[in-house]
Formats: sequence, structure tokens, C-alpha cells
Amino acid sequence: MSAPSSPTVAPGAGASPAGRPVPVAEIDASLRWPVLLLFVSAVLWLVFGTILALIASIKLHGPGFLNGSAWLTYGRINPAAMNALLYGFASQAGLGVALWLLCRLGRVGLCCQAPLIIAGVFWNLGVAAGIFGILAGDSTGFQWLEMPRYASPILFAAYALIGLCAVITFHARRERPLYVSQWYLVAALFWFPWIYSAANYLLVFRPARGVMQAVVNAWFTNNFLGLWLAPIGLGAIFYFIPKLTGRPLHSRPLAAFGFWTLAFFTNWTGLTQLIGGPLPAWLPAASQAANGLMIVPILCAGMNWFLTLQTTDRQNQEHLTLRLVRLGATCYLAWGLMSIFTGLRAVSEVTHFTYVTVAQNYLALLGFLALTFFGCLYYIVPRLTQVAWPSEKLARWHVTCSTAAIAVIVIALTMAGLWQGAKLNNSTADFIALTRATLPWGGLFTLGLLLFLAGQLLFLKITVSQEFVFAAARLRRAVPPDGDQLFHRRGGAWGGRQTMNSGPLLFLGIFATLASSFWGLLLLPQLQIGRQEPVKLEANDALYPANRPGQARQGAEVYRSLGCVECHSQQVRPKGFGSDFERGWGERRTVAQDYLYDQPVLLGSLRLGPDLANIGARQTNAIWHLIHLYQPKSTSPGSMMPPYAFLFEKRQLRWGEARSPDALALTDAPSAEEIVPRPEAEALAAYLLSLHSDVPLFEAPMPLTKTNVVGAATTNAPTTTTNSPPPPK
Amino acid sequence: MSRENQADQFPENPGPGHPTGDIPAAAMASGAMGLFTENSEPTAGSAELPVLLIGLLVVLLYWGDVYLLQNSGEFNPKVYYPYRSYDQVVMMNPIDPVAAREREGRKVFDLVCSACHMPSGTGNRGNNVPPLAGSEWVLAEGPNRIIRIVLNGLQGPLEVKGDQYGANVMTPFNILTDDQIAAALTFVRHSWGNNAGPVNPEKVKAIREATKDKDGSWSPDELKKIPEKD
Repeated sequence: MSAPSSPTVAPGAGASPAGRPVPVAEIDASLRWPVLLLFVSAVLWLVFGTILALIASIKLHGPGFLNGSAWLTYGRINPAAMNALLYGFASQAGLGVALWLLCRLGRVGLCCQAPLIIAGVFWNLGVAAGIFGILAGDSTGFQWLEMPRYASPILFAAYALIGLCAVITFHARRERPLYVSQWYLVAALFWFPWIYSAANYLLVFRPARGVMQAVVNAWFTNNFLGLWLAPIGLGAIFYFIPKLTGRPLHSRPLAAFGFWTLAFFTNWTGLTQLIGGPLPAWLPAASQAANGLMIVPILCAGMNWFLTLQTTDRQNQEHLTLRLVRLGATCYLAWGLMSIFTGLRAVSEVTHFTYVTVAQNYLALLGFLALTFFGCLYYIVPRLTQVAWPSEKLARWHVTCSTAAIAVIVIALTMAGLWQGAKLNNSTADFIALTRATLPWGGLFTLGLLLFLAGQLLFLKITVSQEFVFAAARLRRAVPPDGDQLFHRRGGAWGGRQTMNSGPLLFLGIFATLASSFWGLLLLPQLQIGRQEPVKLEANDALYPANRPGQARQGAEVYRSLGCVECHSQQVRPKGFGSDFERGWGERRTVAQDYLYDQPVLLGSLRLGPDLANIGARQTNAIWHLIHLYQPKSTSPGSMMPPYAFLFEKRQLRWGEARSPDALALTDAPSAEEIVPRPEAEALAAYLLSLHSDVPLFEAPMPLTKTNVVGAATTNAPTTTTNSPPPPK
Repeated sequence: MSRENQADQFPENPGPGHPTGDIPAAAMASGAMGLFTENSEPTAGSAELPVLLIGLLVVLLYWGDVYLLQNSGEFNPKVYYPYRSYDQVVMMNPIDPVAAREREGRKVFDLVCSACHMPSGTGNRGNNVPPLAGSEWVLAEGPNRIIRIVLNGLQGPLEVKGDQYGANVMTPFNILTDDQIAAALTFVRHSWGNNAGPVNPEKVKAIREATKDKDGSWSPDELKKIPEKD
């Protein structure tokens, strides 16, 4: 049994240069410090991210909550929370799980532990710098890539080191044949640096032009979940279900089929987020076609897991890790089906720009990934520390709490979103009233987050109360001398064909699949819409779009920095699709031409406030915008927008001193003081006035009216203002 | 069959296989694999891939192909949903006859008129060519007089915008078609700050018919007798 060249060993294993598989205990010992570092910081980021998400969710129904400074505004807290959850928690926990699984399945100890620990520290520094940057207003504005340019390179460098160690470890594996999980893990480790570096390069360091930024961003967010985090979660599920039931996975050919269909189709589905958006028809159509095909990999995974679990009785499934992994797997299937569903055009018409998109992300992030990774944590950590968990009861409470919380969050957000979408598409429903009507669901969402936070605090209690983690420090015990007799050789029966065991071939396939969408969704559109030039308008020979005047461009920076995009979209869907047109948000759909000079292009994915693509034409009064920013409720009664009072200066007037000409004419202001807009507020108002998309273009024809025949608004320059605020449209 | 036991991870709640409940100590004593027993690493069975799944993939691939082709808008960057082809976008663009006539008129003007009246319609003071931009003759309420000038020419002297332009002759341009004249005049009346109404080809045709017996050029005095507008 211990002889590496034993005839019962699977072919290939004997050919390994190092030959001898490493004993399990030795593997775990080699993984101890790097993986513990990743796990501990992941859990801390999860708690931190949940607290931020909780604050953000309270702000949704109480816009006055913690509303003193720019640092705590919703537009910064919310992306900070998502980044903490995505990069701090999910990515780190995923890396830890991936390292452990690669070592265990390769039957080899972790190489280069010291570099891994350094890289882990740097990853955390990068996340911290990024989140600090977002809160300080340096966000790039791009969804899930908000981390400023001084943080993302740290993350990338840290990842490069971790990824390199993982690949070396994988290459040095003693067990040459590959198990299903390894496909997913190797693929994820390869895909992540590609999508992360490409998206950062094309959005932040050498930004693509105009609406291509939105394409790159959608491609990135989709792949970040679908090709980076999800494959690690899937790898863990494919490992733990057979491992803990003690039964072989139902079918390797089925798993291979599922793997390749997933690899091929996932990366093409990103642009379903932009159905109705300013993209030529073929781009969303390509993503929608791929989206329909996603049924196949999801069905494959579901079948494989179900048929494996079926072979063993329920009693064998009571293991806590198995329970969590099963829940995670269920959430994965639900999330996959939900994504397919919301990617249909008819459904997207309702769910786009609503809480449903948020629900979907939480289902993936907290449901699928957090539950699966916690399952892994419960299994892996005791093996690393050599200390058993102190209390199963608390652990079960943790699981129950988290699961219930996720159910509450997802159901509340989905219901709120469906209701919101139905009302949004009914053009007679008042916007402010319908937004307010989702508040009870928002409250439920907050409760869900609170419950989730309670669960995580319980988990912290489990670990800290027994000095669980620190106990490991005292445990510098030697590795058990001889692990060989305990080493369980994989059964010789690999089953039928020995396919997909070659690292290089696997790599080629992984490369080709992502390259296909890189070519099809990024390169081709870059050649088409990425090189657009301003066009000459027929009406008056002016070039469209005109570049923004300086003040408006500064205002765009304020808009980006305050995260206005978290609640406001800047895209008008075509007439007859949604009710954007009927609501008067635009006189025509927006097209790529409209965004040529935007940097960054902030299309937005949620409409908690009205669309702003054409706000400069809808509300031409700068004073109205300033008063609205200072006190939204005074111009739009009932508005849920938080007041941006920190953009204004409150001055005490000395006796006899005249009011500044810039002071806001507020009706209820005390006579002894005046409110003067700071330069940021003036710039933001100028930017809002510069948002126009009301010029007829060939690709977006408008019905003939007298305004557009003569070319009413042909430049992006702010319209001159009058002093009497007209009522908002 | 399963050697994995939950009790290993949670010593307070020993499973049936560990009656003592003192797992860590027991496991230590046994010396073997640290604290925890576990199953062997997972393996995968070799059950065949269901043919139905392959069938489903093929059907979906076919569907995706058809869907993409129907909704791709011919992969043309100018075609946006809900349009399906470039021709459809062309069709959906509202045709503004006046604007189209104006575009046509610019071509005629550049070829025929701009040599004397200058591309920017300023005329040429030195050569006694009056301006068109801002000219009261061009901006008249109706085009009755300027159509006649184009058809039969004009013999000065002429006063435009308060300036005298001497005895120069504008040659008749009756070789131009009604459409071309209407287009050029529409352009002239709506350019360089001019903002007067368009000129219809029917009007040109009617005047051409009415003045076909006219011999020689118009003089300003003759023209002033003709009402600006019908």
C-alpha cells in the first residue's frame, strides 16, 4: 500500500518524480499558518463588511442616519461593504480553501509558506487601503472595482505571489491524476488574475473609451463571481460531498461535461446586466444566448450532487460541514437559476434596476459562498490547529442563524425588487411614492443583515472564547512520525476513461474558454464602438457629443467620489421597454454615442433615484439643483435622497452684512445665517446640467418635434439659468 | 461505510463510535493521525454522461444560434434593440423633407452660386455682388421675388442692407430644375443666420410657368411691384 509503484495505484502516480505521497497530517501542518492567516482575516472582514452593509441598509430607509460627512454617505459605505465582502472575505476564504484542497488532493505539502504569509498580509493591506480609499472618496466608480489605483496593484501583486505558490504546489503534486475539484481550482486561479488585471487596465489605468467601460465592467463583475469565486465554491462542494458521505462522486464524465459547459458559457453571460442599455443589439443578444445555455452546467452540477447524496442515508449527512456544503450547493443552484431567469429580456424589463439584482448578489455571496466556505472552515481549521471545536451547539446555532438570515435577506430583497419593478414600469405610479413603499421590505433586509451579523459574532465567540486560534500557537507539536499507515490511497477504480488528467491540456482549455469572451465581448466591440468619434449633427453642423466644460468635469469627479451611481442610473431604455420614456427620463433611448466623453462611464444598476441621463434637459435650473442637493425634501417632498449638507457652508451673518450673491434662497432659513454652496456643490450642479441625451441620432431616431428640428440642446454646456425654480418634471 | 465522524470535531458530543467522549486524548493516545479520523480522499464514479444532456445542449445551442441571429441586428454597431436590421433603423429615422432639401441645396449653392456670392453668402463688395446673408431680398416673407431673380437674372443697380450695388448683371439660371432652385433657395434662406421659410419646388414651377414669356433680366423696380407673398 505504501509503495508508490504498487500496481493498484492509478496510472500516472508511479511516474511522479517525487513519487511518495505526503501523509495527511504533514500536509495539514504545512498549510497551518498561511491558511489560518487567510481564514482569520476573512472572517474579520466578513464581520466588518456586514457591519458596513448594515449601516448602508439602515440608510436606505433612514437617509438621515449617520449623515454628517462625506465619509459615511451611502454611496461610499455600500461599495466599501461589497468590497470588504468580495475581496476581504470571499476571495481570502476561497484562497485558503483552494490551497488546502490543492495540497490534499495533490497529496503534497504546501511549498513556499513564508512567501504565502507575506502575500496574505499584503492582500489584507491592499483590501484595507482600498476600502479606506473608497470611504475617502477615491473610488473609481466601477462596480466591484471601486478600489483606487493605489490599492489594486497591491492586491494584484499579493495575488500573483499566492497564485504562483499554488501553481507550484499543484505542479509538484504527488498524485498525478486529477480529481474534479482540481479542475475548478486551477481554472479559478488562472482566470482571476486575467479578469482582474484586464478590467483594471481597461478601466482605471488606460481607460477604454465611452460605453466600452460599461462593457468591461459588466464582463468583470460577471466573471468575478462566475469564474473566480464560484469555481472555488464548486471545487469545495465537489470535494466535500463525496468525502463526507464516503461515496464516490456519481459521475466523472458528467462532471467534466458540466465543467466545460460552465467554462465556455459563463464568461459570455455578463452583458445580460445591460439589456436595454446603450449597446448595439448584438452584444446583449450574445450574452442572452449564452445565458440560456447556462442551464446545462447547472443541471450537471445539481444532478451529480443529488445522485451522490442519494447513495447514502440521511444519517450520514448529519455532519456539520456536509450540512453547510449542501446548503451552499442549494444556494448555488438557486442563484444559477435566478441568474438565468433575470437574464431573460422579459424578466429583465421588470427586475433590472431593482433590489432583485441586489438579492441575486447576496444569494451568491452570502448564500452560496459564505455557507460553503464556512463548511470548509469547520472542517479544515481543527485539522490545521489540531484543536477540536469547543462547542457543536454554538456552531449549529451559527449555521441556523446564518441560514435564516440569508433566507430573510434574499426573500425581502426579491419581493421588494419585484414590487418595485412592477411599479416602475407602470408610468402612472409616482416615483417617490413607489420608492417609499419598498421601505418595509428594506426594514426586513436590515433585520436579515442584523441576524447574519449575530451569527458571525457567535462564530467569533466560538473561536475566541476557547482561544481557539491562539491555542494553535502553543501547538508547535511535531508532526506524527509516520503517516503512511493512515494514508488512504484513492481507490484504484478511477472509473472508465482516464480523461482530463493532464495539467497542460486543462490549462489550454481554461485559456481558450476565457479568451473566447475576451475576444467576443471586449475586442470586437472595442473595434466597433470603442473607436467612435463625435458625429456632426444634421440640424446645425455641431459635433456631438461636445466635451464637457471644466466645471462640469470637476462635477463628474464629485459624482464619482460620492458614489451617486449607487442609486442613480444614467441610461434610458428604448421606448416600449420599461417606462423610462413615459416617465420623461429621456426623449429617446441612450446609445454609445452619448457616453463618448464620460470618464468614468457610470450607467448604474439600481434606480432608488430617478435616471439622470437627461437631467440637464429635464431640469435646467442650477439653483433648483443646489437646493435639492442641500435639502432634497424641500424641492421633492418625500424624497429618500440624503441631504448633502456637507457640500455647503453655513455662514453666520454679522449685523448689517449683506448676503452673499451665491447664498441659497431658502424659505425657512434663519435671517442671521446663510447657506453658501462650496465649489464641489457648484461643480456637481454644473455636471448635472451637462447631462443631455436629447439630440436625435441616426441610431436613436426621435419623432420630429419643433425642439429637435432646430436643435434645441446641441451642446453639453450648462444651460443658462434663471432665478425662478420651475417645478421638476 | 463512512469513517468520518462528526464527533471528532466536536468532543462535547461524542458520536456512537466514541463512547468515552474523550476524543482528543483518545486520538492522541492512539497516536495515529492527530486528532481526527477521516474518509479517504474523494473519488469519482464512471457513470455515463446521460445522452439526454447532450441532446439538451445541442437543442440549446441551436436555439442560441437562432436567437442570436434574430436579435443581433446584423452585428451592426448602429443597430440597437428593438431594431433588427440596419434598413429598419434607416426606415425609422424620420424624414424631414425640408432638412433634406436644405442638404441638397447646399450642393447646388456650392456648385452654382458660391463663386460670386461667396461660400459664406457675404457677397463681394468689390465686384458689385450683393450679400445673401441678412439680405432683405432673401429674407422676404415669401420667395416670389428671389425665385424670379434666379430664373431670369437681375440687372442692377440694387440696394441691399443699405448699400448700393452698381449696374452688375446676374445671369439667369433657368437651366436648373425646379427642385434644384427650390433647394438652393431653401438653403440660402436658412443659412448664415438667415431664418426664413423653405421654398417649394411647386412654387418655382408655377413662377417659371407664369414668367416663361419674360424677356431679359428683372430690374429692381420691376421686382418691387411684385408682391413678396401671394
